[in-house]
Amino acid sequence: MSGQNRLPAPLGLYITRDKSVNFTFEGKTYQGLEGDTIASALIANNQWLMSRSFKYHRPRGPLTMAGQDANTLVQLSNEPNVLADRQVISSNLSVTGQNYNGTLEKDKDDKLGYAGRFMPVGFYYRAFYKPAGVWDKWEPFIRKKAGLGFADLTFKPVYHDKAYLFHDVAVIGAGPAGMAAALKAANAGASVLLVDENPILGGALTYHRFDIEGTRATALRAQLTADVLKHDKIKVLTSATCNGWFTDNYLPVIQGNRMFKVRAKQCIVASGAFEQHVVFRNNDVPGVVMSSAAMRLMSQYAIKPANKAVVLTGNDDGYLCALELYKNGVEVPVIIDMRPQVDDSALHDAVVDLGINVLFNSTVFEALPSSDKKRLSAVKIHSITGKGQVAASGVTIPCDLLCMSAGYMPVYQLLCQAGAKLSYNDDSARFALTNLPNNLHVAGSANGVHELDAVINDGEQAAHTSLLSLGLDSEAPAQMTCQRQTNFPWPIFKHPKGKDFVDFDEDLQAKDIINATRLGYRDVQLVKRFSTVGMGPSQGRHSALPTARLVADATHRTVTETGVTTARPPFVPEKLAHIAGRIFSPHRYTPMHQRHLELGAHMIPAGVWRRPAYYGKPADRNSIIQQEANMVRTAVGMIDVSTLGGLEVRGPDAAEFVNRIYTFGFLKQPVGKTRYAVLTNEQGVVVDDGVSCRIAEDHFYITATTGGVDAVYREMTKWNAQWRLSVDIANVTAAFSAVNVAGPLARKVLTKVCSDVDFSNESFPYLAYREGTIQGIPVRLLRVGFVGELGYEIHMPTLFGEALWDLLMEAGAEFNMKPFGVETQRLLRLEKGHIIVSQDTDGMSHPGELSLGWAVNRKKPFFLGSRSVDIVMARKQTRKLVGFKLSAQSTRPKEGHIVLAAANQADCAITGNVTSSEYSSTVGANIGMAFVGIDQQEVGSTFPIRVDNGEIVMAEVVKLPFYDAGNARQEII
Amino acid sequence: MGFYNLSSAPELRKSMLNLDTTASIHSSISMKDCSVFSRVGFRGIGAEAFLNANKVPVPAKPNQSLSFQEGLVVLRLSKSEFWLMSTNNQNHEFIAALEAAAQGVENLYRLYCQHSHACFLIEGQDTGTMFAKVCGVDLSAQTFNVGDVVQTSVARISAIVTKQTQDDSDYILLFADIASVQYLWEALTDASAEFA
Repeated sequence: MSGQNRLPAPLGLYITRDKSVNFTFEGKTYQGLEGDTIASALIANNQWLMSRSFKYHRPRGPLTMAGQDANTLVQLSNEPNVLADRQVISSNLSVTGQNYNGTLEKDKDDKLGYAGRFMPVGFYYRAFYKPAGVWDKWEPFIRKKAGLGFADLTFKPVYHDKAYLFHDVAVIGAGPAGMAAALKAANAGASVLLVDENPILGGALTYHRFDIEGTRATALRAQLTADVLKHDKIKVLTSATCNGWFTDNYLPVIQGNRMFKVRAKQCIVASGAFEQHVVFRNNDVPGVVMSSAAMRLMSQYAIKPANKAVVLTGNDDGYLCALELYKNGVEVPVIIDMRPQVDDSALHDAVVDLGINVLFNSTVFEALPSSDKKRLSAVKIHSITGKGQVAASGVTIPCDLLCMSAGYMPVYQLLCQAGAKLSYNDDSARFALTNLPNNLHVAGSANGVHELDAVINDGEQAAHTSLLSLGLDSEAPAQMTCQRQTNFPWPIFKHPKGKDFVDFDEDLQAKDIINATRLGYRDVQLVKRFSTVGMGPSQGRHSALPTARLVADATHRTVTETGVTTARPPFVPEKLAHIAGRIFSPHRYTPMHQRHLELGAHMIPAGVWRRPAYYGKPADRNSIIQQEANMVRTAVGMIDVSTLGGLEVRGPDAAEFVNRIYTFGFLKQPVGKTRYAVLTNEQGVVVDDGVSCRIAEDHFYITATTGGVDAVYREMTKWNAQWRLSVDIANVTAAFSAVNVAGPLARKVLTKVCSDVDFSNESFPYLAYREGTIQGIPVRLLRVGFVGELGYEIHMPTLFGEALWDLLMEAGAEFNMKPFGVETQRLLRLEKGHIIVSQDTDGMSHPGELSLGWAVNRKKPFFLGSRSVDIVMARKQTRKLVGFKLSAQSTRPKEGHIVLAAANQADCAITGNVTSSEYSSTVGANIGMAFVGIDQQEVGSTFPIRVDNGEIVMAEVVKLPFYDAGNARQEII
Repeated sequence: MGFYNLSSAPELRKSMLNLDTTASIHSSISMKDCSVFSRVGFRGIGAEAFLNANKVPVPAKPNQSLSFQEGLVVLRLSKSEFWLMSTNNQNHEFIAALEAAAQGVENLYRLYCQHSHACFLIEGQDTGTMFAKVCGVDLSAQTFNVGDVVQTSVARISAIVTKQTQDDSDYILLFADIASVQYLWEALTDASAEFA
C-alpha cells in the first residue's frame, strides 16, 4: 500500500502511481510512490510525526511541504539534517527522526519543555560560566544535547562538479510570473535560463487554487509549460536552486550534484512568496500546517491530508483552501477569519453554500494535541478583541488538520543580497522591494503582486525592461496594478502559557523576542544574535516577519524602521562538495615519466611537477640513495632535469638585458660559454639561480629553478616593460626537456651517441656550451658541475625527450649507467656545498649570507636589487649559511630543526635552522647546511641543534665543499 | 651556433600523452591528440611582414584564426605573434621551410610552440557544453564563432582555444602546456563522459 489517503488522478503531479517504492522510517517499512518525498509518503501512511524540535524536543511534522522549515529534518544512514519534504524517496532508503533520546515517539527529553521557564532567551549567555570552572562540568552535558543528527565519518565522497551557463536572461522561479517573463524574453530573441527548485514547472499553479471553480491554474499551467518547453531559446533547470546572487548576476545554481555558475546579462527574480504562520499556543503540533502545505499534499502528491480540517486565515486564500479541501472529501466545519470581513463576497458565498461556517474576527488561540502528542486533535477558537488580544473564553472544535494563512512574505533573499531594500507598510501590511541594481528585476508575488493576471503582467513587464537593457526590441505590456491585500497585520496571539512559536527552528516563543528587547536589544540584528531567531536552518523564512513585528511593537517603531535580518547566501544549505566541485589538480610530467614508472621510481611532487625521488621502494630509501650516489661518483648516472626552468632572451639588447637582471657580469660572456647566474630581488634577497648560456651575440638561453622560473619570467617581462630594451623574452620551460649525465664515464656515454660534437676537454671544456645532434635530434649541451663530477646537461625539444632518454640509456648500458633521483641529486649537491635556492635560502638570504659574493659583480653600474645588496651586505651580519658535520652514529638533524645560541641554556636565542641534511657514505658522516649565528661560523667550532624530542646534538662547522675541495673531478680530462 | 630547425626529425617526435592509462572517451565528443603535428610560431614586429612575404595569409586582428590551403590554420595571438598549425599533419615541408626562412630575419623571433604546447582537435555538437564544465569563457556554438581565438584557462591551466571549420564541420583546436597533457586529456575525457 502506498498510503490509505491517496486521491484520484489528475491530482498527484509529482507522483507516478504505478511505481511503488519501499523505504524504512524508524525501522518500519513504508511504501510510497515514485516521486513522493519522505514526508508525503509518511503522511500518506498517516505518519505525521517526523522529528523532534531542537530545544524542547517537541514532536514536529511538516509545516510547509516545501522544504522551507526545519520541522522535517531527518537522518539518513549517511547524511543528517535532510529535509523530509524535499528528499524524494528511493528504494531501501533508511530514514530516522532526529534529536530524540529513546525513541521518536517516546523521547525522554520531551520533559525539557516543562523546564522552559529556566531556559529563557539568551540563558546560555548568562549561565555556565560562573563560578569559575563550572563550565567544565556543563560542557559534556551541553555537547551531548547540542547539534542535530549524526555525521557519517565513514562517508565516501561522491562525484560533484560545476559548469558555467551563459544566458541573456536568467529567470529565477518558474511560476506564472517567471514563465511569462521567460516566454516574452525568449520570443524577443533573448537566450533564457529558467530555474525552479521544484521538479515541474508552474510554481503556485501546481498547487494553489486561483478561482472558485478551481480550473484556471490547471489550464494556465498546461499552456505556459508547453510553450516554455517547446521554446528553443529557453533552457529549463528544474529541481534546481539559485543559492545566491553575486555581483553582475553571477548566480550559483545547484542541481543534483552539480553547481552551475550562471552568468546572466539580465536577471529576473520571480521567486514567489513564503506563506506566513499565525502565532498561537501549540502552533507547532503535527497537523498544524500552512494552507499551501495542505494544497501541495492534495495537488502534488494526491494525498487527502485530513478527515476534518479547520482553516485559519487572514486573507481570501484561506477560502480557496477550504474549497479545495472540501472538493477532496475533507470535512471543513469552519473557516476562522481573523479579519472583520472577506474581500471577495463570492468566495464567502461559495463556502457557505457548501455548509462551511465562517467566523470573522476570530482566531485559533490554542491547538490541542492528541493524548499521544503525535497529531492535532482540536483547536480552541477565541474572538479577537484587539491587536493580539482575544476574548477570555472560546469554543473547542475537534479537527485533525489546521491550515494557516496569515499572509505572504516575498522570497526576498536573492534581491536583498543584491542590495535591494525591503520595506513594509504598517497600515496595509504590504511589502515592497526597491533599490534594485541595474540588470536585476523582480516580478510576481515576490514583487507584492498576487492576482493571477497581474502576476503574469508583472513577469512580462520585467522581461520588457530586461529586453530594452539588452538592446532588443520589445513591446511594452499594458500596465496593471494589484490592490489585493493578503497580509493580516497582526497574526500574533501571545498565550499566557507560552509555546506560541515565532521560530520553530529554535523553539523561540513570542515572549522570547519581547524579552530580548527588554534586555536592551532593540536592533533586530542584535535580537537575532541574542535570541538566535532566524539563525536556524529555515533562516527566518517564517520568523523574520513576526520578529520584526514584535520588535517594532516593543520598541514603538514601525516594521520598516525595525527592518528584517540580513539574508546572506546560501539560500538553502549547500554541501562543501558543491563548492569544491570536481577537483582540478593540474600536474606536470616530463616526457620521460613513463620510463621512470617502468624503472620503479618513487615519484614525489616538485611544485606542480612529478619527479623521481629515487628508483626503488621507499622502505629502501636510504640504501638506494647511497647506491645511486656511489654510482655517480665512481662511474656514471643520469637524471631527468626537465623540470628546470628555461628562458630565452633574444634580440640586439639581449646581453644588456641579462646583465641588468642577474648579479654577475654578462656583457662580455663569450658565445659558447655558460655562466652562473644569481637573481636578487629589489630587497637584495637571492630569489633564484641558474646557468646562462650564450648561444649567439644576441641570444641567451638561461636556466632557472623548477619552482622559480615562472616568477623569474614575470620579473623579466615586468622590468622590460619599463626598460623597453629590444629583446624577446620567452619561457621555454616546457619546450625543452633535459637530462644530466654525470660521473667519470659521462664523456664515454656522450661520445657514443653524439658524433658531431668533439667532447675532448680541449674542444669542450668545463663551462662550455655546444650544440649538436643525437641521431637527428637537435640538442643543446652544457658542461656544468651539476653534482661535482664530469657532467653534461643535455637539453632537447620536449617531443624528443623520451627518445633521447632511451638512446642515452642504451649507450650507457655498457658502463652500467642507471638513472638517479632528485633526492640523490640533493645529496650529491650537498657534498659539493652547492646551495639550492629556496631550500638553503629563505626570504631574507642575501648573497653575503650565502657566500655568493663571488657571483656578484660590484663594478657594473646596475643589476636588479644592486642597491639593496649593497646596503644589506654593508650592515653588520647576523647569520651565515655554513656546512656542518656530525658523526654517522649521531642523531641526524632534519631540515627545519633549529640552531641554538647555547647548548645548556633552555631559554637561549634561536640563531638559525638546518636547511639541508643527509647521511653521506662518501664522507662517512651526517652532513648538512644550516644558518648559524655570525659568531658560530668559525670552521672547526661546534654549534647546538635541537632535534626531535628535544635532544641537543653538537654539529661541527666544516669548510665547504665536503668533497673534492679542489674541484678536480668536474674538470676531469 | 644558435639556429637549428625545430621542425627537424618529425618522425622522432612522440606525444607525452599515454593513452594506455587514460580511459577512452565513450562520448559524442571526439578528441584527437595532434601534439606531434607540425607547427611553428613567430613573434616580433617583423612577423606579419615575414608571413605576408611568404604568402601566408594572416587574420586582420589579434585573437582570430583562419584556415588556408588544406589543413593549415594560422592563429594571430597578438598584434605581433602568429602560430601556424597543420591540422592534418600533411604540411610538414611547408612549415619546415617557413621556419628555415625565418633564420636571420630582423625583428622576427621563432617560437617553440611545437614543443611547448600540446594540441587537441575536438569535435562534436556538445563541445561547447563540455567546455562550460572546465572553462569560464562561453564557447557555445551560438557565441564562439569560427575564427575566434580565446586565451583562457581550461581545467585550471592556461590554454589557447580556437574554432575552425572544414568540410562544413566545425572543430576546436586547443593548445595547452605540453607537460600537463596527460592531466588535461583526462580532465577533458572526464568532462566529456556524460555526452553519450
